[in-house]
Amino acid sequence: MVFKKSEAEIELERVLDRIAESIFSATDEEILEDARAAGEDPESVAREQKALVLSVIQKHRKTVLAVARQKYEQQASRIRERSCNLPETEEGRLELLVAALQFRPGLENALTVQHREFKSLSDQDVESYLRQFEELGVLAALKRSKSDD
Amino acid sequence: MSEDPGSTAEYYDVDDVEKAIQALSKAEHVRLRHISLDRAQVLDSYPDQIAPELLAEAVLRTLDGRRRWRKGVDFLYHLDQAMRSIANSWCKRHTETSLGAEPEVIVALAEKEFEAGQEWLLRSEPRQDHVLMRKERLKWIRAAFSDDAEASEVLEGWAMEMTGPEIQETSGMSKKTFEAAARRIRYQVVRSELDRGV
Repeated sequence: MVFKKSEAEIELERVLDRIAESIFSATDEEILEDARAAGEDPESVAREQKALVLSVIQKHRKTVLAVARQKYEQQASRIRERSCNLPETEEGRLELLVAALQFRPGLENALTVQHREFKSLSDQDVESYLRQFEELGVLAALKRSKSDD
Repeated sequence: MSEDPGSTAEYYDVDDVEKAIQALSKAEHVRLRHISLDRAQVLDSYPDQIAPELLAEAVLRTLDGRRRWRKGVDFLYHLDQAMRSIANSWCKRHTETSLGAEPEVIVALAEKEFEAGQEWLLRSEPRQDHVLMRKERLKWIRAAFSDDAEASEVLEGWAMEMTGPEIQETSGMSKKTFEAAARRIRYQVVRSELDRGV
């Protein structure tokens, strides 16, 4: 279906363009006077407009956060679902984590402070860290280095 | 969000847009209100109701990168042009759905392109009287100046795409008279009385 404007619509657009130009060329004082003459209080108009545009900023920020969160969730779920040959026992998994950290000491930064001494590290935490290291290719590199030895 | 890294230097980023919004003065907010009312004239017999949605959509598109703010362009002018283009696209869609599209097409369209502000598309069912409204709108504006010969002349000149100096030359109007008439038109259009088309 083709959208074709009528002559009346085109003329209306031209007039509205000129009115917009006139709004732009008016001084601040004239604009405020126009509002007052129309029975509006410029203070409350400005307040309402400000609230409107600030609400759009908030809405946009929330959308950006939601998109980032969704991305993170997708990545985390990909890591969780990825098949990973971890040791079958709890001790075996902890040993592998320690070995990985010795192999790449910089990875210690990935552990939160309370976990750095392995005191409060649950088996679930260990598994989660190992899966992340697997995603980073650390476990494969560790395995390669051991087989080279 | 949809930034093209190759040309970001030509456009302001989200932080710049947020700063520009935060820095708007009282007069600029009122000016924006008047501009949004002007641009909403093509959308509804009640522009005061759709004007905030139009402005919100322009701001949102600027923030999310669908309508980027080019460096060196005045922020209010950027928003004006964004509102002009959005109003045109809503009009186009509304007219297309008015002219015989099946209801499921309208729903699909609404689902596919639902954005902030487009509640208007859903709220106001496509109707021939909206198309008619746009055709009649200028008549209403003209009618508001039936007793004002100078403003009528300015309106006719504008409708024929004449510039201010051209109108002054053709009508023999002084610059001062022209500007006063232009101001009366501007003032009427942003007044609520005209919102009802009376």
